This record gives sequence, C-alpha cells and structure tokens, in this order.
Amino acid sequence: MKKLLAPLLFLALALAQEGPVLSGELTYAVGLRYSDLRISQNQAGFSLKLKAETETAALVAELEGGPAGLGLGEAYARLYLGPVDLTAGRIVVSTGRTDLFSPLDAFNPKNLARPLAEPEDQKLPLEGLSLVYYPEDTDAELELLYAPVFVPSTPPAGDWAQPFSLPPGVVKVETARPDPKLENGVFGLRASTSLALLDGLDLGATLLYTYTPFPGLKALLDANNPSQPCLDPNAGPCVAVLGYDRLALLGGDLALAFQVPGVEGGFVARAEAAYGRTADTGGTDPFVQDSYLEGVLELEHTFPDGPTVLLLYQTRYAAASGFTAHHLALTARHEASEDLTLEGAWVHNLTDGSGALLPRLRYQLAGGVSAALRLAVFYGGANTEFGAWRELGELGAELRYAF
Amino acid sequence: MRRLWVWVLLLAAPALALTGDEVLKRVEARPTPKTFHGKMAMELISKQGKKLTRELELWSKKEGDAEKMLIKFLAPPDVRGTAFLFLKKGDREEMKLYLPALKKVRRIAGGQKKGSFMGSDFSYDDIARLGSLKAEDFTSTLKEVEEQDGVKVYVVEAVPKPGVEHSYDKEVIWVRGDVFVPIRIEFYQKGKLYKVMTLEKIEGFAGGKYQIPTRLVMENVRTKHKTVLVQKDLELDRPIPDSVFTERFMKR
Repeated sequence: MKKLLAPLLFLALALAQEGPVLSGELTYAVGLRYSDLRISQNQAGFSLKLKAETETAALVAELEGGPAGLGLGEAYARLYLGPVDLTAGRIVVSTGRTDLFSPLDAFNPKNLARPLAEPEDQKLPLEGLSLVYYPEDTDAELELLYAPVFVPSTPPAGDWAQPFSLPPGVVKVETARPDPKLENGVFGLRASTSLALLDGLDLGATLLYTYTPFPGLKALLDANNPSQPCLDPNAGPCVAVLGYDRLALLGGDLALAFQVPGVEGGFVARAEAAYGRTADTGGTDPFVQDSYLEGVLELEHTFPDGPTVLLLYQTRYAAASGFTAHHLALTARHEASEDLTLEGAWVHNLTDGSGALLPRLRYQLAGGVSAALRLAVFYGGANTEFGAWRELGELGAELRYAF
Repeated sequence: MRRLWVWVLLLAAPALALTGDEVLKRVEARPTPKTFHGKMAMELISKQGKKLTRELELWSKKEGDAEKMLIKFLAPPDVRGTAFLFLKKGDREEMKLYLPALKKVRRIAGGQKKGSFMGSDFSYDDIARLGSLKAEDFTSTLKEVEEQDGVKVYVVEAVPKPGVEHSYDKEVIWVRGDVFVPIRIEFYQKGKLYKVMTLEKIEGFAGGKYQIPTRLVMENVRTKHKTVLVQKDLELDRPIPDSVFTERFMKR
C-alpha cells in the first residue's frame, strides 16, 4: 500500500499544478406519503468533486454526505498510457447498454435502500482497477475490470424492504461474505465495437465473474453445535447462514440506429441478453441460487420538437425453478423549454399485474438552482412486486444547487 | 451615352449572370479552415426574455469528403462533461452523445438530427453544418439581388433535390457578394417559415483568408425562442489529432 501511495501522491501534486476543478451539488429532498400524510423522506445531502487532469493523467476525488454520514464517492487516479487508460481507486463503470433494466451492468453494487432513486445514483463505487485498451484506427475497445473485494448491493430498507421469511426455529442469522483473496475478487471483461450498418450499429460482449447481488440461504446450523446441521429448522434453535453465490454473467448487447420511411424522427433499438450461471445449473441444490436468463429489448423514438420516448420489455427466466418475470416499461422525457423538463416512467410487471407510475417535473431556477416535483404511485395486489409498496406512494419535492 | 450604358452593362454582367446555383457553389468553394478549435457561449433566450447560458468547446476537422466534429459542454454544472460527436464520410453520417451521469456513449438516430441540440434552437444537424451546405444537393434559384451597406447581397432559394435527406424543405439564403458568406438563412418546414439564422458578426482570420461567423442568432419564429451562439478563442488550421474525435476523448 505504501508503494502505491508514493506515486499517487506524486501524481496528485503534479496534477494540482494544472489547476483542479471543483464542482459539486447540494440537495434537499422531502416526501409526503399520501396514504397517511406522513413525511416519508426528509434529507439533505451534498457531494463535492475535485478533478484535475493533464494530457497523461487524471485524478478524481468525490466526497459525499447524507443521512448515512460522510463518505468517499468515486475517487481514482487514471493514467493515459498510449492506447490504454489505466484507472485505480474507487470506480463506477458501465457495462450495459439498455436503460432502466440492464442485466449486464452488474460490476458495481447498487444501493436500493430507496428503490426509487435514479438508476445511475444507485451505483456504489467499488475499489478496483480498470484497464481499457483502444486499438488504433478502430472503433473497438476492450475493457478489463478487477475488484479484489466483493461488496454486495444494499437491499431495500425500512418500509421498502420485501418480506423475507425464515423457518421459525431460526434464532440467529449470519451473513458470510467471500474472503478477501485474489481469486475471490470480481472480474470483468468487455469488448465493444461499432459497425456501419443502417444509421450505425454498436455491438458489445461482456463477461462478469461476480457474485449474486443479494444473499441466499447457504446453511442451517445447530445453534448449540455450529459444526452440525440443524436437524429440525422448525423446532430450532438454528442459525441461518446467508451467503453470496458465484455468478458468471455472460452476455451481449447492441444498439442500432435506423429510420422508418414516412415516419419523422429517428429510432434506436437497443438490446441486452445475459446468462447468469451459478454452481447449481440444474436447480437441485436448495442452498445455491438458480442460474437464469435475462433479456431486455428497448426502442427509442424522438418526436420532432417533442419528447424522447423509450419502450422496454424485460424478461427473466430461471429454468430450474420455473421462475419467470416479465416487465414492460414506458418512459418519456420532454424539454418543454430551457428551464422546464417533464419526465415520466411507467413500469408494469406482466407476471403479477402490479406496477408503478412515476411522473416528474424539473424546473431550472436561476444560478444552478433547480427544483423538482415528483409523484410515485404503486398498484397491484398486496403480495405483488409493486403492490407491496401500495401504501408507500408519495409526493416529493427536491431542491438542488449545482456548481 | 449609349457607349456608357454598354460599359455599365458589361461590368454588371458577371454579377447579374450569377445563378442561384453559382452563388451557392461560390459559398461552398470559399476557403474554409481544415481544422477549427474554439469556445462557444450559447445563450438561450425565452420569449419572456429569460436567459440561460451554456459554454462549449468545439473541435472540427475536414479531410476530403470526411468531416469530424466534437463538442464538449463546459458549463453550466448540470450539463458539464456532456459531449457530442459528429462524423461524416461521404453520405454516411454518425452522431453520438456522451452523458457523464450515465457514463455511457449513446448513439443518436439519423432522424433525431432534427431535434433540438441541448435545448437550443439549433438542431443537431444545424450544429453539424453551421450554415454550410452542399450546392449539388439543392435546386437553387436566385430570387433577388439586394444591396446592404454598399455590398451586393444575393438572395437564393435552395430546395433539397428529391432523395436528398435534409432537415428543412426549403432554405432562403442571403449571401454577401464580396466574401460569399451567408449572412441570413430562413428555414422552412411544411411550407412555413420555421427558423431564422442571422450571422450577425463575421470576422476575417488568417489575414482575411477565412471569413468566419463569430456571432450567430437562431430564432424559432413559431415559439419566439432565440439562441445566440458566440465563438471565441478560435484556432484555425492547427493540427488536431484524430484521437480527439473518438468515444475515448468524449469520456475525458
């Protein structure tokens, strides 16, 4: 670590002479739950970002503060070495192409404590390395990723938490994370290129060797003799050991721009398909999460002088358990004027009939200050994906100052 | 007296003889820098007079039938780091947008070229062309020859030829006869006047070799919304490596 610190310090000093750029934002958000008129959110936050860059290197450090306290956001050093960009530190990367649902964009863990946050704001930085190789005179790029320590995603918290039941005999729950060893790290490999087909075609292939983002039951042990399995989970006393399964995520993605004769405005079709393979491909081991297939189809259309609309279809299928989920989503974004932006998203679970409606209005006030009003409405049965949040529908407001 | 008239007619003949097509060909043939780098201030002005300023940095390069352009937003903070890439080779055009919040480069469809460029009155296509056009793509008619401040100004109506993909169904272009630079362009859509671009300030660079519009105003006549584009810190014909016009540079 000391060996790494000296060159980083040298790099920081060199970059500091180039005149670092300080940017940041202050936010304040408040939410009112309309079912019981309770204040559901009342929090202030800030982020400060310092960036210094030269022709050959860049240094970025982000400090974030919020209800959970003060912490480092993205913080990394990047070297531009000929055709290679080498980045080390707390990084956030994008390995997918579709919006809203992106099965391949799974290198960084996500903070889903408040599931309604913007997808890009949910990504948590991961300590690791990124090496991107850009072959000369091509549109191709090859990216290698490595994070030595796996960090799980943060599940929905408080009222947003999904009900989770364990056998009645369980008196204690332990969660085991993979040991911080080289071979237990998270690996990624992504290749992408562009081709001259129609109005342009982008292709990508991704392999992530990671873990399931949320833990599953790994063992039930006798609470009095932890080396032995729990013989009767209903009688107990038992210890439930939760853990994360190795997941090899292999998939491809594309974006194709095209036009439809007689229709004004252009179209972009995007797609992602992924196979998530765990150790239990046959679905016979109750202590290993099942392998699955996931796909997303997306169509984007921009109306002349009108909104940009996205229509998405997502499906996930686990053959072993027969689990199937289908979602349909429609989003629209319209810049009504230079200071007013209207946005909306509708997500519908085709399997259980539940869904969410999320309209938002953002107004740009003077001098980097913007205000937003948003509404969240959930519908569906009590035990459905979005219906479970029926009582959590809220009207929210946000004030943001960016500099 | 008759002899004098003959001389006047002979001297005026070359100017009067110019057709709309010849005017546009002279516009197209005027010297333009091979590379261009500079900063732009983009002021968005609403009907009520409310202003919003955006600052951009622009790089462009021409090599034969290939054109490349990259624009990066420097301010305000909510769009800082956003980058727009335009690549053209022959009839093939490609446009991409980098949104730093998503850390993704997104392809923009051809038809989206007509859409507003970052909330301004310029479309992506307007920005990519910035007043330039290919004469052979249009059927041009000289409508009028005016005189402004002692300078002859040609008014040319240019209609895209069948099969030519263009954002507007007609343009009426006012061209200064001394330097063959457009000073005003009216854009028509569905037969009606849609936008008017006024090139308010044209400056000479490289000893007057290049006549570059440094202040452009685009007004949407339907919404009465205006965008003022001011170009500054211009560097012309300085080498710009091809690596600038890449997704890699967009992300930096």
